[in-house]
Amino acid sequence: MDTSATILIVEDNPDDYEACITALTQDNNLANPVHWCKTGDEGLDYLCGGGKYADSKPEMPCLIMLDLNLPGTDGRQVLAQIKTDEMLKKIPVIVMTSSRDQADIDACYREGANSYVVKPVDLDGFIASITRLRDYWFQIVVLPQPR
Amino acid sequence: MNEAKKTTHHLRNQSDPSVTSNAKRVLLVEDNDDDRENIANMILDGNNGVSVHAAATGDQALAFFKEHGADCVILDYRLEAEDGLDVLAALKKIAPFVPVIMLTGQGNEEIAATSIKVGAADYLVKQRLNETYLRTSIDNAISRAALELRVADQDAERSQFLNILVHDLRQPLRNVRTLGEMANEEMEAGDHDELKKLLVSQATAATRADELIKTLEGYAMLDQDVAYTSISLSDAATMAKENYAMVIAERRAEVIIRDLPKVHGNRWQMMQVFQNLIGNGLKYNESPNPQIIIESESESESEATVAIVVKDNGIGVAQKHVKSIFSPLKRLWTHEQYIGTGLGLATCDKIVAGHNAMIWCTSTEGEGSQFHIRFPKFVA
Repeated sequence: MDTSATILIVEDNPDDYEACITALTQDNNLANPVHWCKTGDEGLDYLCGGGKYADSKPEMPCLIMLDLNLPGTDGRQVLAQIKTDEMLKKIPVIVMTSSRDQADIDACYREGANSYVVKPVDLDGFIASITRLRDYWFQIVVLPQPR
Repeated sequence: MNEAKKTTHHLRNQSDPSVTSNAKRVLLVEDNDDDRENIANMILDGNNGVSVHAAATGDQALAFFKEHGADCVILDYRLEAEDGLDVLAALKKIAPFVPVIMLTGQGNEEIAATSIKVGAADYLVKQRLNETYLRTSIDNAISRAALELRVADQDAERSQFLNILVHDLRQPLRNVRTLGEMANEEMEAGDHDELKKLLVSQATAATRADELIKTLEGYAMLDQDVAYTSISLSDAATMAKENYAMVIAERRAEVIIRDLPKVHGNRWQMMQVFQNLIGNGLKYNESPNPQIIIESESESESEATVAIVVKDNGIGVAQKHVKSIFSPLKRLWTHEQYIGTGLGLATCDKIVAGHNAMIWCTSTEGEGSQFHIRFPKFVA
């Protein structure tokens, strides 16, 4: 497995990001670097080499974890842009949100989300589900070449 | 229904609030030449401020309707080449809320009942038509359709609002719970410094939820009726400025209020609008000397509206977001960047709409934003 490819996390809530990192790095089971974007606009800049990433366009990530309710351009719009871009659409996107709204769930899958995860309310549950997600995406499935 | 509110809706669907026309536009679909002319005249004679466009076939009517629309359609159920019910269905497909009144012959009650079932607003028996009969039916159909449209709009808005609200409230509550669990672990581990930090974060998260609920209460209260009188916008703006005196001094800011017009409105609500705009101008501002100018925008004398502008030298709003910032609970920044509930501008928008006015934003990123409000001109 390619351990050099980045995981991109687009999440505005620092506590949720912390919990994500804790889960991903648990048991030292993941070597891939993680990049954190706090808004949808920053996430798109990272992916398209705009804004503060204009000078040195980052390598494509191998996996994107995307929150839905983001300030500015929200997660639904970020997802739509990723999935209509020839270069970006092969990157698996895991939507992570507290919205259990069926319309959101259906819309995200229709737009091409690769998984839709409702964040569990308790910390242990949250960490457990991300750890399982990590194992699924990094040990069971084969990911596309990021470049 | 409140008259002001009804027109608000009408206004807000148009790009320019100054070009509203009150004439009711009726589309008449009737294949018989004599009947068409008679009925058209009857509508015109019975109504003030009504215009009639007459079409001889359903196809013509649909083509006209797609292009120009109409406030009400009067449709003969028995057209030469087409079935009136098909035309009705086609119209309803284009505009679900347009009121359609069916014209039927005597003894066609069954047809009438069917057409009501599939969406007609009313039916009139041709042989019994007269001016009053037509006018009442048209007026009722139009006001009922406006009400239906408003209710549908409100329902859609409400469900979207609830959806976001659930997320925005759940977020801090999840954090409270998570931080509690983490604190518990630290307590067992005996790390008191870490424990203290977590408890402070927990209190912050709880405060955020509380703030949101408070603002929300205020936002929901805006649905209640308030008294409208002649008010001075200068007074409202000055009161709002005074409420920010402390922050203005702290930030070494300057708030300049120039001569503003009088409008028909509610003073407390307009003060709230200025308060939110001044608050935003100070908050989303990295200048060592924030400056906010509130003044009239030059308008020609003949215009039926007056416009004011609240200008700041703040961080500005990206072009792609200048419309969405007025949506309830929409935020552009994370809580670490700028604290907020996402209801400030939504509150302004709602109040302004209640005043039959319009608010919009123009901005240059890094230079500042201008919030424009256009009111109907106040006639004493």
